Amino acid sequence: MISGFVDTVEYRRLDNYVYRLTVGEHLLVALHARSDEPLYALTPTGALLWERLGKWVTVDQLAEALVSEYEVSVHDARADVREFIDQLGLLKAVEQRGVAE
Amino acid sequence: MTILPRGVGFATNKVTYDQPISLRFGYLVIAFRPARPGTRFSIEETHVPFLVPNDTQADLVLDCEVAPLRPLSGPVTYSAGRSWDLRRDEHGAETIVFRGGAEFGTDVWQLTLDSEFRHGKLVEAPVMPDRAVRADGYPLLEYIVARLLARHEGALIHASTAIVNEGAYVFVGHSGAGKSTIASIAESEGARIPTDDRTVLTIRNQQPMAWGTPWHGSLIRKSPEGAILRRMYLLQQAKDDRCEPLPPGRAVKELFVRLIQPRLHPTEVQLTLEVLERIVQRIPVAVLHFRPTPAAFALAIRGSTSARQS
Repeated sequence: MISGFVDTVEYRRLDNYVYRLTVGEHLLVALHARSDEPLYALTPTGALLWERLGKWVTVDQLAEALVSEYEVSVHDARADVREFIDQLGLLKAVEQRGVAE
Repeated sequence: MTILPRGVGFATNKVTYDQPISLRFGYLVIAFRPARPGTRFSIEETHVPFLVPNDTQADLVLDCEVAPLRPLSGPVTYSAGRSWDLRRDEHGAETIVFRGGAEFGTDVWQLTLDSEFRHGKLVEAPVMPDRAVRADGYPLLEYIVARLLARHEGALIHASTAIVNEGAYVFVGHSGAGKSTIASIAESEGARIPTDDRTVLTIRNQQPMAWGTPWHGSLIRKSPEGAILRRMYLLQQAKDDRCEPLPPGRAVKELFVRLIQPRLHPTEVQLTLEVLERIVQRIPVAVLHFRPTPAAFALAIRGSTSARQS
């Protein structure tokens, strides 16, 4: 916990997307879904978060990963993580659950 | 060769066989075998050039029959609207029901593939009077080939192909981009055109190749011919002719979104992207801004960035 708050939600990526680093591009490919765009390009930061979302993690834990990897404040890292999670939510690429206290 | 506008074609003749048949697309061979004695097979004559001898090593063997389709249970994994539904079991085996007829209202084929896509069963409902298994049924065969190519160092792409001096020049684009137009121009300039709508791409032994297919487009004749891939172009109709080179990363993305059925299995996505990576690292990919003239085709063959360069 780096924010002073207790995270009550964990997130994990769903398996309806496939990630691949291809010739310098971080690609996120949507498995067959007619209404979606076929693929998205992630930033290196997004790719790092996507990798960490392979298991259940909180926003704080993801922010910690960014802080340890990049020169970014905790505040900004949390904001970036939340925005990224929101975007993945719109794509139905992430699930969430409550954390037992 | 006569080239007709899209949608205006000669009705081709159906050819019926009282024996097994095998069809080849690129390096890929699919064997259609009778599941019971007396099973017959039919293909349109456009597919006859793609026949290979039955003792050719097959990548997929399908046991086929004409029979009522068995009812399926379990949830649909993916659906392509009206045309097909895919069910994948916990072991990775798949069953796909393809529909046809008016408004795609009739279940016509039931295709079951093992998890390795090495062996399968194809049942055609007895909806046609001749009671032969239509090995080239649409979208059945194109679907099978697209899925298999992903697992065999290949891909199927919306593209026409021109062969010049034993090299293949591939022109990529969705419907209306000008694939048939550039193919027609290329043919008038002496190129061979194995396909003007669907191209098989392969990369085996580090060698990118492009191959003809029997599907769609406006050409009456289709050819299984393949050639070493020289260049690929994304077609963009314009008021002048010029080539805009694409960096490899963007080229992969642009090509991927123009493939046929690359997103039905995570492994196929990974393998398909790997194929495209290997191709774009070996051959130039560019946007061809073009007018429908021989000069545009000549520019594509030269590969220079301007029509004025020699």
